[in-house]
Amino acid sequence: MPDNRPFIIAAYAITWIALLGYAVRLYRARAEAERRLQRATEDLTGGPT
Amino acid sequence: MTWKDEWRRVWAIVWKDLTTERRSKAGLNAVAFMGILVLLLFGFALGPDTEALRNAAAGALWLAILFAGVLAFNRSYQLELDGGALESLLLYPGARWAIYAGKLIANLVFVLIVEAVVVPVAMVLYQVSLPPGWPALIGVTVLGTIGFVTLGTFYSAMSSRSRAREVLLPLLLFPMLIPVLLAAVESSASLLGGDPMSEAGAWVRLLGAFDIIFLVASLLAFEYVIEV
Amino acid sequence: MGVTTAGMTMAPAAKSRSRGMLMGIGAFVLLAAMQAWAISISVADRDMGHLQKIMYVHVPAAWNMMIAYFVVAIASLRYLWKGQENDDLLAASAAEAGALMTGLLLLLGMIWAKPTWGIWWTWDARLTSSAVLFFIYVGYLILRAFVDDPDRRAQWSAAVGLLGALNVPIVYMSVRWWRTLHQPQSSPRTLDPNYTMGLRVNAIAVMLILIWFIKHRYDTAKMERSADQLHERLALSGRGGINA
Repeated sequence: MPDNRPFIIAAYAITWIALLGYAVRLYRARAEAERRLQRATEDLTGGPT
Repeated sequence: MTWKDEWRRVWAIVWKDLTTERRSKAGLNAVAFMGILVLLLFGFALGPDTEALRNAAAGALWLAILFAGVLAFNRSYQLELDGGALESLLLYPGARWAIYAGKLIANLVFVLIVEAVVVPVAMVLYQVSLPPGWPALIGVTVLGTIGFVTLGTFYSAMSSRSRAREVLLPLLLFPMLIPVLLAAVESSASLLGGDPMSEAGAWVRLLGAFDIIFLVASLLAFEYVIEV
Repeated sequence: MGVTTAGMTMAPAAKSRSRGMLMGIGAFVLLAAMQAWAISISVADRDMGHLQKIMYVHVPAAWNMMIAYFVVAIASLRYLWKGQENDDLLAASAAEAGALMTGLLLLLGMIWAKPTWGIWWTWDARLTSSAVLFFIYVGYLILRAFVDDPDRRAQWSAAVGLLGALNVPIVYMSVRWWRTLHQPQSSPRTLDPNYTMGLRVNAIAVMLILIWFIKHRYDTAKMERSADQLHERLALSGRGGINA
């Protein structure tokens, strides 16, 4: 029985890096969009004050 | 608007585009030379081995047609855009598909003329002799060209009006054309090898199906692409 | 009055965000648990050793890729039919997640191919058509990046998305005719029931993550669009100077 452990570990590592990496990117993009939306709303309504 | 009127519009666009090409000739010459240049480059890349060249001939020829043809499609709309002619074309009454059909036929004639120059050069450069079944070979070439031009005309309607059009068209077009490339290369290779229609038949049917499916889809979708 | 409008816009967003975060974390925890379970129950194969464990990530990526592209096709069709911007944003979100799944699928396929066949890449039907699919949808995303006008971008990418989806079976068929040396479709029927179960639960866990990806991307795109629209209104009303 051949030892394929490096390949299996690489496969799982790549899966998690890809999925978590994209999740982090999405989270940042969303925070940025929220900030932009809030700023635009404040500009339009004359600010939070 | 009757069908007859639409067809007159189609032919008017075909006539206008082909006349423009005939008057300038620079476009046709440049595209044909590009095709020959690609053939030459493939010859150098593959080395002078006659047998290897002969085996690669069908593939190299189709890639040369693809690389050369892709230069023609953007030009077809670019000429309209430069003079602001596309807006006036859209202002005329009538169906949008007539514009697509006109551009399609004009591009088809253009690419077929380029092929009439490039194919004989390929046969000389790669030392391929005309097989007994050469009429079938012409049929395969025309079918493959229809598929190529159908999608090329459709995608260049977008790419020519976007930023970075030179990069965008091949990026969108080439992945979509892989079935055409496979079918055209496989069937022309088997016909060149003196193969009776037995093996090429399935590929020819695939080419025909591809042409019909994307011709219908492009005619339907063109309206959404050209209006905005 | 200004405060209430701003407050009303922001409160639901913050609430849905924390709910969305919870769902995302839940999906990832579930995937970790399902992977651990599937690995623990799977037995070593006589010829391939523990290599089939790669299937627990490879096959879910393939199935979810198809789901994502199915969403792209349906949303594109609906956009052309009804002309609502939301469908365009949904198609774009699904295309991004689908391209991610396809990229992952290709990498995992290569990692599986190396110890199995001794080569990183083989021109077989499914591998090659996945690569073509990847390029078709990367082209779709690049087109979106190169077109600025929202209406134009939506119409064009809907057309490209639909034609791309139409081409998927043709590409697959043509590549299969061209060359076939892949093992038969890894259909669950011929296999050990535990292995099948492992594939299915992992596919469901990845699907939850996919849904979360698409929803999150969609919400972000909607927020970006409403921020753009607010800016347009601001420019039109000529009150752009207030905070400046």
